[in-house]
Amino acid sequence: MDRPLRATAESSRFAAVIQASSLRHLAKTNDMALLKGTLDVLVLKALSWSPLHGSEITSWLEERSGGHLDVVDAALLQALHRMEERNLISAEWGVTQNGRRAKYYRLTTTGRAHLRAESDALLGHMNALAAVLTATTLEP
Amino acid sequence: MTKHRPESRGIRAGVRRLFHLPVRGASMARADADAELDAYVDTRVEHFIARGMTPGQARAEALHRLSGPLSDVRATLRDSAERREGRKQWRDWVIDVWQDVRYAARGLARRPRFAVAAILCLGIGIGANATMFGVVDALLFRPPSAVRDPGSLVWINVMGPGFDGSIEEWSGVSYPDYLDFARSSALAGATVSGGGDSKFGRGTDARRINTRFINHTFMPLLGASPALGRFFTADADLAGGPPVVVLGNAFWQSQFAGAADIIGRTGDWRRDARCRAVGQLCPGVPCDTHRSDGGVARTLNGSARLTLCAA
Repeated sequence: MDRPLRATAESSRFAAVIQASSLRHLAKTNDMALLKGTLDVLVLKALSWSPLHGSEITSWLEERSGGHLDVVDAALLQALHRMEERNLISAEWGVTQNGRRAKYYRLTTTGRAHLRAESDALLGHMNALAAVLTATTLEP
Repeated sequence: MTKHRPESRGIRAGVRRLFHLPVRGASMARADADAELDAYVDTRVEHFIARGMTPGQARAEALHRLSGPLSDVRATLRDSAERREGRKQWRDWVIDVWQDVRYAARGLARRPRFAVAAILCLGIGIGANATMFGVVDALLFRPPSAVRDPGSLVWINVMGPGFDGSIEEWSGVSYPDYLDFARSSALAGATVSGGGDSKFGRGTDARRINTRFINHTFMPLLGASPALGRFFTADADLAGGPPVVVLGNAFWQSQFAGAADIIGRTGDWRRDARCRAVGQLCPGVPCDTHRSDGGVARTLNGSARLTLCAA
C-alpha cells in the first residue's frame, strides 16, 4: 500500500458488497450483487467513454465483468435518477441506431471528478482487502 | 456503442433556464419516468433478441431482469423521478438567485458611485414608503382604538343645491339639520363635530391649539370614556354654557406633564375666556390630533362648520 486507507463510507459500503457477493455465492450463483454506492461508480465509469442509454449501460457492465456482475435493472434506473439529481450525470432523450427513443445519459464535470475520487477510494480498499485475504503468514 | 442522435424536440435545462421556461412539473416527471422505463424494456428486448431469443422469451427475460412487477418498478421510478425534478428545480432556483446576486454585485462594484446613488435612492424610497404606509395605515386603514364599534359608525354628508343650482355635496351641516338626524329612528344616535383652532396661553406664550368642537353626544356615541374626569353635559351645547374643555392625551402630556390634578384647573384659551378642564381623553380618541402637541375637545361655541356622524 503506497498510501494510508481512509475510513470512509465507501469502505463500509465495499465491505457490504463483499459480504453480499459472498452470500450470493453461497446461494449457488456466480453473479455478484451490486449495492448502491458501488453501482453508482460503475455506471459513472461506463459513461466516462460516451453517452449511453440505460440498456447500453447494463450491457456494458455485464460484458466488461465477464457476465459476473448482476445488474438489477430497476436499481440501475433509480441510480441514474439519483445521480442526475446530484448533477453527476445529465440526461437527454435521443434515438438509437434502430430508430427507437431512449434516454441517454452523459457524465458531467462534477460526475467525472466524483468518479475519479470514488474509483481511487474503491481501488485502495480492494488492494487492502486483497492484501489481507491473500496473506500467507501471521507476520506483517 | 454507437453515437446517439439527440432528439430535436427536447429543450435543454440551460436553455429552459435562459428563457425562464418551467423545467418540469411533477406530472411531466412521472410521464418522463414512464417513457424511460418503457424505452428501457424495449431496448432490453432488442438486446436479448439479438442474442438469439425469440421476441416472447426476450420480453419475459427483460421483465424478469427488472426484479419485480412492472407496475411496482414503474411506481418506484415515478417517485424517484419526482424527487429528482423537485430537487433540480430547487437547485436551478438557487443557481439563478446566486447568479443574479453575483451579477448585481459585480455591476455595482464596477460603478461604486452609481451603487451608492442606487442604494441611497432605494433606501430613501423604501423608507418614505414605509413611513407613508405607517401614516396611512394608522389614519385610514385602522379604526381608532378607542372607538367602541367602528363598523357601525357612518359619516353623513348632506347634499343640496349649489350656487349654480346643481345638486352638490355641502361642506357641512347646520345644527338644526343635525337635530333632525338625531331624532331619526333610522339611526341609533347622531352627533356632530367641527374642526378648528383655539388660542392657548397669554402674551408671548400664546399658541394655536388644534381643537375639535363637539357636542355632548359625541364621545358617548363613539363609546369613548375619559381617562380622568368626565365629558361634556348637555348644557355645554347651549350658548352661554359653561366654558369647559377636554384635553387630548398628547396635549395633556406635553403641556401639563400628565398632571393627575388637571381636572378643574383653568387655562387661558383665548383673550376673553378661561376654560376649565373637565376631562382628559384616553389615547386614541379621535379628538387627539395628528399634531405633536395634541389637541383638545371643546364645546360647540364658536364653531360654524359641523360634520355629522351617526351610528
